[in-house]
Amino acid sequence: LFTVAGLIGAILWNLLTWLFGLPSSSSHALLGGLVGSAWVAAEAGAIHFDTLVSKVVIPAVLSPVVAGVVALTGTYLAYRLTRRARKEQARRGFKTGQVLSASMVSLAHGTDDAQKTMGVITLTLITAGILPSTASPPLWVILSAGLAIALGTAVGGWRIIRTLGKRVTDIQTTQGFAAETSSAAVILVSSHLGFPLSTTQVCSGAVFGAGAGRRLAHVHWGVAGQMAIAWTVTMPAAAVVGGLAALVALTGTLGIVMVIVAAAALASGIYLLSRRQPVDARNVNELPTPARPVPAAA
Amino acid sequence: MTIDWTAFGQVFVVSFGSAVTVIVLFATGVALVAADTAATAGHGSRLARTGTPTAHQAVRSPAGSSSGCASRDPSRSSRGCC
Repeated sequence: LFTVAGLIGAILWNLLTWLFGLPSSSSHALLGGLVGSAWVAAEAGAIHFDTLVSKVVIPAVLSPVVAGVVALTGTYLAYRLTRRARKEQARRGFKTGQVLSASMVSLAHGTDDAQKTMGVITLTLITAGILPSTASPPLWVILSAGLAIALGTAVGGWRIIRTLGKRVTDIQTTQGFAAETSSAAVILVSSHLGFPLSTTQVCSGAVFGAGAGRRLAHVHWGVAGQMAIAWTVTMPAAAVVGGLAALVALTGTLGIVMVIVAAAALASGIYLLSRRQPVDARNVNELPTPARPVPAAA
Repeated sequence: MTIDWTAFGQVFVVSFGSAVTVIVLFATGVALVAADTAATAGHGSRLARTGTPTAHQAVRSPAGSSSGCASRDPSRSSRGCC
């Protein structure tokens, strides 16, 4: 039950940050939600705070920095090497390269985030007694996790794409290639070594690095501040929502129904709010312009 | 609390090395492919300035800067080659 409550905390926080176009970490939201609900269900002693800091908090701080440094170096070198080349020709070359580098990011995303989703579903099945405690994730769980991530990326990613592609810095194909290659490398190496990094934070760090690699002034560091706040608040906020959901759900069947209905209502509300200013393929490159001051009457 | 700094260092070094290697190799490839066209365009541009368009120039860059410059059309000066 506490796993479901934790999931609800993570889903609601993710939807809220998505509404504002902020790329917050779904991994940290998931962990926060689980921590909050486990705290309520089994007291604070059930949480291994040492492990949380060493395996989650410190990598969360370091991973965007690592990705940023790698992307900055890669972008600088890519521009340096192609400075004598014709711009249009180089643009087309890196655009082709982006197909490969973006595919690598997708693969890396699957090695990292899809594993967490599969882990949570398998954990729920084990705690419900449907699977034995030593079971591996069933095939349908693997397929569902992959399909859900693919669908979410295809349908709902436009707000985050606008933030990372236009609001942070105006990404050119050279920078996109460098950022994607750096992100894929960092995530794949981390997954191989068993570090559960946030792909969101790695990709965001790489985009900032790629922006700074072209020209420092092109990066809107104010957006970085907004993201940093969202990242800092993600775990505690998801923990609070997950804890509240667990608190209500533990009261009985009525509590469980109330939690599910409230979560569905809030999720629908956030979706309806997003439809007021929809972002899709047609307007993803258009930034909302600030309102012009009305000239004073003569 | 134990933090495995060696593993962090490993992540940084391996990902830095692999990503930068891939980017440098790909950018070098792009530079090599684009250099041929750049050299042709530069050659055409030089020929255009001397006012002696050639068949080679006409064939290699029918819509490029060289043909425009070769015509000495002042309206084409916005292309930055005349």
